[in-house]
Amino acid sequence: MKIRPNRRLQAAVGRMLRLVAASVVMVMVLTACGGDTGSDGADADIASAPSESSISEPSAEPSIAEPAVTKPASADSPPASENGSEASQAEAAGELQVAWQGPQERHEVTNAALDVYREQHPGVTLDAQFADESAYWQRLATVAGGGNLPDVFQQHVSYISDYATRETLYDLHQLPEGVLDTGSVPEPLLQIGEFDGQLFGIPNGLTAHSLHVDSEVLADAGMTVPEWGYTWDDFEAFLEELVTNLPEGMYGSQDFGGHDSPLMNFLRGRDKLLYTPDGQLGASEEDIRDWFTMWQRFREKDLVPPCDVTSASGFGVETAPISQGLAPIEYRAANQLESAASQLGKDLELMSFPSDNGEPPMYAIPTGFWSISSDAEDPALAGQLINFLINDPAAGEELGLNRGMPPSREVLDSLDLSAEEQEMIDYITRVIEQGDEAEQARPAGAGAFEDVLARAYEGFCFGQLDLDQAVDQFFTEANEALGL
Amino acid sequence: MSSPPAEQTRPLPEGGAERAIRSAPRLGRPKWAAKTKRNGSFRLRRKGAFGFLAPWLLGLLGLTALPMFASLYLSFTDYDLLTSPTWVGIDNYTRMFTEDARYLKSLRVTLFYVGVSVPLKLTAALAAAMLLRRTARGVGFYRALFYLPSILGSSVAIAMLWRQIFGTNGLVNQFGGMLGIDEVSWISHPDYAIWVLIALSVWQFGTPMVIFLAGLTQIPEDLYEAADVDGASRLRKFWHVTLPILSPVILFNLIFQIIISFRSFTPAAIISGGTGGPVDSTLLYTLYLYKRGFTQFDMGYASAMAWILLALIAAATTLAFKVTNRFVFYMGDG
Repeated sequence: MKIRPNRRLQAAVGRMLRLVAASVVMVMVLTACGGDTGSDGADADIASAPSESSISEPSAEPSIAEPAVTKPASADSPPASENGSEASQAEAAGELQVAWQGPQERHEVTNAALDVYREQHPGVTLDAQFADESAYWQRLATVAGGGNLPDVFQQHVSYISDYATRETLYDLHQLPEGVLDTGSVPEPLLQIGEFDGQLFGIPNGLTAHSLHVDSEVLADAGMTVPEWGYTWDDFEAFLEELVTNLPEGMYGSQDFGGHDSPLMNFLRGRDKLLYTPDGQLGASEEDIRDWFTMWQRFREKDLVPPCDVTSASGFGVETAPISQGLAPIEYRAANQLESAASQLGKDLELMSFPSDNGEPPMYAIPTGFWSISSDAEDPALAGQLINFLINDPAAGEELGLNRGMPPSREVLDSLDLSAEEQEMIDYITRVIEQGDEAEQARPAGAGAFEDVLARAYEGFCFGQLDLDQAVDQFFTEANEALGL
Repeated sequence: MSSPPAEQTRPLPEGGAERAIRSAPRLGRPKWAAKTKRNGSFRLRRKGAFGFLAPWLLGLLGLTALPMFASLYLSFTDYDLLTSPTWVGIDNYTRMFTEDARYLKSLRVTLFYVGVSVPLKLTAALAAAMLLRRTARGVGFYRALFYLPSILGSSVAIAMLWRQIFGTNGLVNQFGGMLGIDEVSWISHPDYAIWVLIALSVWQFGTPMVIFLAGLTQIPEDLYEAADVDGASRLRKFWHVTLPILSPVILFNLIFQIIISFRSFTPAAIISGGTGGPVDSTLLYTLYLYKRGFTQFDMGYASAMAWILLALIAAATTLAFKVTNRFVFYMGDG
């Protein structure tokens, strides 16, 4: 028996199908259109966008400068080097992609060093790619996902674990004998780049944490920088005295409680490490509580600026308290002394960190590593380039102290240093000579950890979280980030 | 889409419902019309059609559809961009709603942002359109002027400008200081930062304004004259004539702006410096998605977030249709 077609049902189904089709098309068109203007992807790579909230140490905090991640200009993997991989020094030939991150000055000096290499090895073509902090790490992640990592690229202690544990880096121990001389780097620092005995990055500069002090303001207040080896109580007393001698409206120091490097130093003063060698959190709840309440006390006594001021100023040189005339002390890595001083046009000097146990807690850290991608066509050639950049005085002359203290003694000795640069070197050398155990590379997941402390700290600072909630949030998120 | 109101009041013809159904327009081809001959020339024309469509089709499939389905697949995996994805089933989805406080915060922030900025934007657009609908000299200039922000608005440059203006030493504080307003860093205070974003969104009311203008010009003048004859005040004319006839346009703008707002990314990223603002107060959904995927190497989770966003937008759109259906009057009917 023939069933009569139900016209109403057909009509209703037809309407619904048309509605669904129209919605799908609308959504797809709007997705493709990207909103009112070319909001996604039409913007050119901003290589020098100010990353004001990035910390001053070659940073662990990628602040976003541009959302649309563009692949580097020559994203195709370099063609196989035609002359094979056993080229001798003078006959080296091939093509290498080199990438690094940093401020404009670093691009200039590194390019100058690469030019020297090009002169020495005319057979080698170098494709240099560089970007500022924020853009670099985002770009790197995407490029890595596409399997197009540059042959030689700069790594950082916060991220090297992420890349090392995911088989994207080449083991430098596998390089042929004599290509890369790792002896110039102090052993404990070399170990930071080692994972399970494989060396995934060689430090290309050394630095240590420090406090930068505006000498003029301090002199006006009639005070001098305390000697190494003072406690947090001493620091508090120092700030109290400083504030009474400063003009109205000025605070004693920047509020650097929301940054993980000072916290690391705080914990070292208690003989603990933030990240233990086996990837656990070494801080106890009480430590974090003490840290948060201490800074609260500083804020209440007007020793440090209030929350919104700190949140607005961040840790970049131009926006932090010294340049704003808010406070004469701020946290920054020691190797940035000279560049910060020239940028601000002020006299700066270095001050050590306080600690609970009275011993200076600072430790030497690499400002960055040079690593080779595991996909590199010619690792030996890449290794040669790295050797040049680290150990060759000709390169050292161009690079100067931009990445901190050169690991190679030979390079360091060949440099002419200004007074401020010498002060930097003296500080870092003193820290190295203290022989403190270097902190391990941040474990995989440190990328996720980047702002765990900052957010818990800010939540507490602004009063949105009480102390228990803030500490709780810190530990929950930190453990989650570390995969624990 | 439910039927327009007019149909519900049309009386049934003689013969009742059956006769109405049988005499209703048939779907498909009428019996007296010839079937389309599938001959050689037909095939050639069809090939030609596909040939012209091919570039667009390839783009749609390769650049839109394929990545979409890849993302759907990835949302059920744990993928960190550097190694191969591993299947985890609905783990990402459950984690989102049960273990991730930041996700819920980003949802709250986004819903607040959409819920506040869209009505404000549409109100501003309608007000501006009402003011600019006359044909006086120079009105074209003002229309262009108000439209300008929406062209530039979503760009990185404008977002950076706003970050500067509302920052500690920005214009707002400099002028605000003269007026006696407290000098706060508007972008770094958790209570105010989201309002900076909302202001940026509302500032771009040019696009809906232009659409409203087009809709306003469609309203027949004689309706207004009839209302005048009845002694209607300006407000009543607006409420009883303008709004009802404009209602489809309002609905269109509402849907469009809701979708745009949910997808907003650049302002949040630039103004907060990529961090999501103090205490995550400007952590919009898309920004959190981006952070998860690209800075935390958690691409599977980010893909899951993207599909939930799609579901969210679809739900919001459907809700908008359903709720406003009673108020939308299509001029062609009855």
